[in-house]
Amino acid sequence: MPNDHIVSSYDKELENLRSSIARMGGLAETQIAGAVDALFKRSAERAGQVVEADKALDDLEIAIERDAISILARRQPMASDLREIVSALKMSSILERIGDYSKNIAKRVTAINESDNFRIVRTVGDMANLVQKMLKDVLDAYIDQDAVKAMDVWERDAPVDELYNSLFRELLTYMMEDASSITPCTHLLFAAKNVERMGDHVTNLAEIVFYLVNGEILEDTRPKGDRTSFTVLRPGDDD
Amino acid sequence: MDEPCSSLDPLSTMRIENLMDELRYDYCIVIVTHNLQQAARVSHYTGFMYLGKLIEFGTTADLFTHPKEKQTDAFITGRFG
Repeated sequence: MPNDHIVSSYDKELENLRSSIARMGGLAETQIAGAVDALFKRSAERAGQVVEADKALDDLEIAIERDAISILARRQPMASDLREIVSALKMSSILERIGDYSKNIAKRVTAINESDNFRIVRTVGDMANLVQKMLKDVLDAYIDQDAVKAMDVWERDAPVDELYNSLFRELLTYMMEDASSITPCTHLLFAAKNVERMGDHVTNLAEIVFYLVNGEILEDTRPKGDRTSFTVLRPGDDD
Repeated sequence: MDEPCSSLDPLSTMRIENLMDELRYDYCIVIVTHNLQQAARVSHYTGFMYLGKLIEFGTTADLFTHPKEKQTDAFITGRFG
């Protein structure tokens, strides 16, 4: 069956939508890298750039929403076209959210920098690297319409959760040992939680790609690895 | 063009619509149609006429997503006409 519509301008509109999503994804990736870079380099200037750059993601989301609504109204899309547009709407709002998390991490850099001796725990960077790679792969899966690749990303969130669990315990231990570390540790914990949430959002993107390609909603429940809601550490506990 | 696709099958209709899309780079085309979907698909600007009176005119995207006139809204959502 041919892939192109008889009316070629329709193809162009869908193509524009796809490339806007890809552009948003690329920006969201850069924002994660930038936020973590600012954190480790303790650079308020770099953090400021990340906060500033978030506006571009917000603007793209609005543009995608506007275009998608316009296509819905004018073209009455069906089947794969309809999925394409619904997916673009959902993906753009997720990517915008991922951008917000990066911005939030960047905003915490100044507060963390107040504590000169505080060492940024490496794990946050490891988590961010994993999430950034997941995001890149899910965007590739979207562009290639590859549901298998999307499912691979879907399954890769568990290691991020594991890292978050261990970081959570580690930071609690630091806070119990040294009260002066409470402020930077709390900020870092929020930053890590933001990265962990980004990972969850990337799995949602993977589910959307699965739906886009197969036309079926993925109903399997993804194993949740974040156990920090139940974690209790008491002074004297061995980590 | 006055109802250029009336009584045509969907495939032929699409061909005509594609032709209009090609011609629009060189010509300004006015099309009269009773087919709402067709107006939405092919045009950049749409005017809604009722009993010989122009009720509303605007970009197609605006007219079909947030029309200014209540009558237009009712018509395109299938509530009157």
